Amino acid sequence: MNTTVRDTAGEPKITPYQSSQPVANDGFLQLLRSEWTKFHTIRGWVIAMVAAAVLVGLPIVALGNTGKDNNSIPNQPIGPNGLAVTDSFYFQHRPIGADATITARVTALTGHTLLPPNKGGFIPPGASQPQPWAKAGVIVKASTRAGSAYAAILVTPDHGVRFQYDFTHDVAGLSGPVSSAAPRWIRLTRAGDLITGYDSVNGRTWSTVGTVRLTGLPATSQAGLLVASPTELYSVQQFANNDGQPFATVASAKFDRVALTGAVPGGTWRDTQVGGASGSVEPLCGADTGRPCNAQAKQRHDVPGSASGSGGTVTLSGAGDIAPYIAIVDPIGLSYKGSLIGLIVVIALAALFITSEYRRGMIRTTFTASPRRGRVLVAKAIVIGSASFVAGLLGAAIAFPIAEHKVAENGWPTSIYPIRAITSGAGLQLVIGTAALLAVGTVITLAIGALLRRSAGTIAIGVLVLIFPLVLATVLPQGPADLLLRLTPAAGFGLQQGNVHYSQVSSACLPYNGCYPLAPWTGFAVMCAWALAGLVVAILVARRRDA
Amino acid sequence: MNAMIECSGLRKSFGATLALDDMSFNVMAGQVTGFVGPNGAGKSTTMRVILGLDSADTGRALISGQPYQTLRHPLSHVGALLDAGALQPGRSGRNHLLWLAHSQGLSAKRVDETIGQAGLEKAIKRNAGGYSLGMRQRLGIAAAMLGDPPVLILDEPFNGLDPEGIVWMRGYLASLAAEGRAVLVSSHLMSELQDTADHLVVIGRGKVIADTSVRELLAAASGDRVRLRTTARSEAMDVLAGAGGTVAATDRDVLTVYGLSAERVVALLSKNSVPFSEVAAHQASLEEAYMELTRAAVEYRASVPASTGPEVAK
Amino acid sequence: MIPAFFAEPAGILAESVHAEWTKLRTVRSTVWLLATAVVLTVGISALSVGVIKCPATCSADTTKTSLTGVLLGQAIVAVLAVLVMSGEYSTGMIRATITATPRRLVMMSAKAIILTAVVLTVAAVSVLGSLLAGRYLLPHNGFTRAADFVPLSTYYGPTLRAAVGSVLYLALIALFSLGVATAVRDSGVAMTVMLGLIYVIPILGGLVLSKHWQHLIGRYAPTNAGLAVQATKNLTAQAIGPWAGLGVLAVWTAAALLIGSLLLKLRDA
Repeated sequence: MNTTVRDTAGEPKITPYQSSQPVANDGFLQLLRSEWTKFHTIRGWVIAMVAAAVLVGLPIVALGNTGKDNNSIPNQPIGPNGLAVTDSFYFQHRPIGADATITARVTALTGHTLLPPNKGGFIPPGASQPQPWAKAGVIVKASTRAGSAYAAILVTPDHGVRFQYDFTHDVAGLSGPVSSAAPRWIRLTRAGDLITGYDSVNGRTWSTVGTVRLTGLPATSQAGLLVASPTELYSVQQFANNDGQPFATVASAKFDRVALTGAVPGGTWRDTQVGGASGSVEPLCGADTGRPCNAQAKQRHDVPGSASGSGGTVTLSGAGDIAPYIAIVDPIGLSYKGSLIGLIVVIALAALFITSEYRRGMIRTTFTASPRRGRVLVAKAIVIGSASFVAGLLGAAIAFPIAEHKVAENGWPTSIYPIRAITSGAGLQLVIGTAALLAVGTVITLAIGALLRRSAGTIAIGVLVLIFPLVLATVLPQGPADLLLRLTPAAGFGLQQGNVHYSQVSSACLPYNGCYPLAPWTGFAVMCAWALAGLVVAILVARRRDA
Repeated sequence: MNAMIECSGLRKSFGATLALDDMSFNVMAGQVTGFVGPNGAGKSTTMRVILGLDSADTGRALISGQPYQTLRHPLSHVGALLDAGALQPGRSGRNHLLWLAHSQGLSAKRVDETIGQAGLEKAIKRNAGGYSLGMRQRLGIAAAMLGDPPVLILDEPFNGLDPEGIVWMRGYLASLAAEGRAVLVSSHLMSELQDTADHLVVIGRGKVIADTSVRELLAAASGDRVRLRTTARSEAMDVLAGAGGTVAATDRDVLTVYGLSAERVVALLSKNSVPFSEVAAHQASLEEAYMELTRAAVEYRASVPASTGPEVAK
Repeated sequence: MIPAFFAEPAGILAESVHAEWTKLRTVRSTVWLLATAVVLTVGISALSVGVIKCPATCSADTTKTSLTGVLLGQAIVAVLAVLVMSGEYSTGMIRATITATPRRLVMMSAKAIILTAVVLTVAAVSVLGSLLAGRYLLPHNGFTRAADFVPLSTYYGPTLRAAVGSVLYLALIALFSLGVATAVRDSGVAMTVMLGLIYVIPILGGLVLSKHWQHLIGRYAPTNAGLAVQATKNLTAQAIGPWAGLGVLAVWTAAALLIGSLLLKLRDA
């Protein structure tokens, strides 16, 4: 029996059909539109996304409303811009007029951590070294009142020469450590309101580090030498909880070739402990922090400074810092963690957005219509990411002014927790950051879903990857906890910090206080890197795997 | 030149199971090509390979001379219905078509046209989760027709259709072929393709057993077979066997004659005065022809069906 | 559920239990999930023990730290429990199950019994593995006899309580998840609710600044209270006592099972 008939001779020639549909551009935008249609045509998903926006906003407001609960706030001096500052240092000074120059050479800067007397306790790393941001240098300051305007040129152990003024501003000069072999010459000139800082390695060739106009500087201001060494806070595991413990540090600096020229009214060199002797230690347990005190934390280290000198050489030692006051407790940042509830909803949505296609076999229809699977996954990621971004943005933006006012109403002083506009840097970081966290979280979940193809497992792994590190970080000692918050996608939560941090300020940074080891946008970049890696793996696997 | 789908040497194995074993065939424009084989023969796998969903280990499948992955706006080249149940239940039928249309740059107007052609106007706004199997098949057909493609690939489109739906589907497929489209329709029931398919690709165990036009297959299966009703059975057997025919007694009064035409049988019986009441040339059904073809290739047959075991005289 | 449970002839329940056991063990993902639960629980516990050092953190509750992996293991146990119920709804197999066992509460009881048995077994292995990791790793990190640390042992009452409590905790989480999954049916929703309870509520409870709220969450939130059973040191600082905390979780679990079983009985399958 001949059953194979290939081209039957007798058959009439047939013209193949031509599609009547116009061939449009093969654009990625069409794919985006298609995935968007998929998303918004399932009512349950749209409702869930609206719910996510509400569940971002409501908990932020609710947490912002929980109140200070009798937490007392330390009396911090107020700086020139109205914000609380830390202003305590050992100051050897004399008055100067409107046009004067002060020069000095620093030949040594040493220091160490003061250990609590009880033996066998925690020893901070680097306790025998000077605190990295210890300061020794020359300063022109409106008065010896803590919080008054100033400009200073400073030598630091780890960060070279810095020109700093009015607490929040910092400009880098010469780098490298200081020693008798490599001394640092530093100079400040005052010309009216204008103050310029210079540095030099030899006292002959000078370079300008920075200039600032301190408006309103009184005609007679104080100029002189200073030393300060900030207090360090370490996380110490106490029973089941991590607890912050303060460790005072001291620094000693050797100055010589001190010269004061120009308009120098009468007066003599005087020594002042600006800001009081105990200004170096902030309360870190009990009232302010909402954490129980233990014997070690209660211990305060009063570190009065001192000066000694002979033959033109002066050695100053002391503790303290000249810096913006960084609050340990971050009520706004903590409130924004309420958005985790919204995050978990968008994680579930992202998981369903991809896994429901696999469960029903609709992924085959999708991949038949769009054979380039990588583009499909990217389009899906953009759609779910954008929808989550908008939901997060709405929830976080509406909550922002309410939460800010609640915090003030509950008695957190506005000098430490100013009410900020949503358009301020901190406002934008919190609001856009929260939205971005949700968006990138959904992209990571989508990638997991494309790999796993099962909804329950995808949601679980999504939460384990994004949220579980936060849980683990609160029970681990600070070192490993920091590592978790640097390396896992949870690094992105650093965006939700309400307190402004300054790179030139050593501040207590403990995960349970809502502080993250990486700079906010750096942490977010880590999270984005995970999302990107996940998406790439998902695309590679989707391409290779039979649908 | 009219081959719209070309499969050559497709091989694919899932672990130890060889799903496709050198599968080669072409699907021509202007015809309904039936793609037939028992369950597990490799029909769906072949279709998935053609559509670029599964990758073949070796061999290639082309649509209008191109691999599927290289098609831009593939739905304007090929319409496919693989699994009518592959829908998200919370979305309406119209919105299902809408996202598909958007992925191809097609308009909502085109969606509504297609809905009309598939006769789905009534249910289309309801959530697809509530559709009957028949409605899902029609929605699947509508989705396949969105791009008005010259090639259609339909996996078991008759499944779940009521008798009215089956008639509609047959007519619809024939009209699509008449427009010059290439239509590949898989089925595990040959009877569904009777009066519909112009061409058949019969497969078993991952390879092509027969690639033939329906007309020739039927002619071959029918052969020179004549059914004869006579009371004088033994005389008739003698006469016809003497003239070179092979005669089998299939019933008390019925003989089946092989190797002689109906005219020759009538002439021989008349010449020898053997009485008979009925002579008919046998027309095999597609089902019979198919059973004969696949007898060797059936994988999951429980046991060989007990035949009536005709006694054969020579 | 309890009265119905006892009213059933034992035979029907036994058959149903057998059927559920067959269903559970013949799904390959079950075995994978359980293996993953053991590996991750012991793994996270070992890592946590590995990073605490004496004298830096001598005051650590070494038993509790050795059981840190339970924090992760509970998520996997919840996945298993949710799939036991929601998995049937998503595939429509629930209709076959209810056809086979028309008394739905018997069906649910059977699922609960099998789930409890499986989770108790896996939890016991995970918890013992975690404690063993602690027992052998801690002395290397300075928690030596010389520093007044005795190797972890279940002969020590509080450690035994934490170990048994953690096993029961995981079983309660499984039953809680079963109740939630029965109530909401959809696996995605059930997982979201459970993961929210397991992780988000404790995080927010730790962050909330009001001591009043901290105390309330520590006492009455299901997982915060339940995990109090792991504490072996400084019990007075806990918001709730170990067994009382586990009791709070048990009440939550009973409520979830009750609501789930009521909805199961009243609703169309």
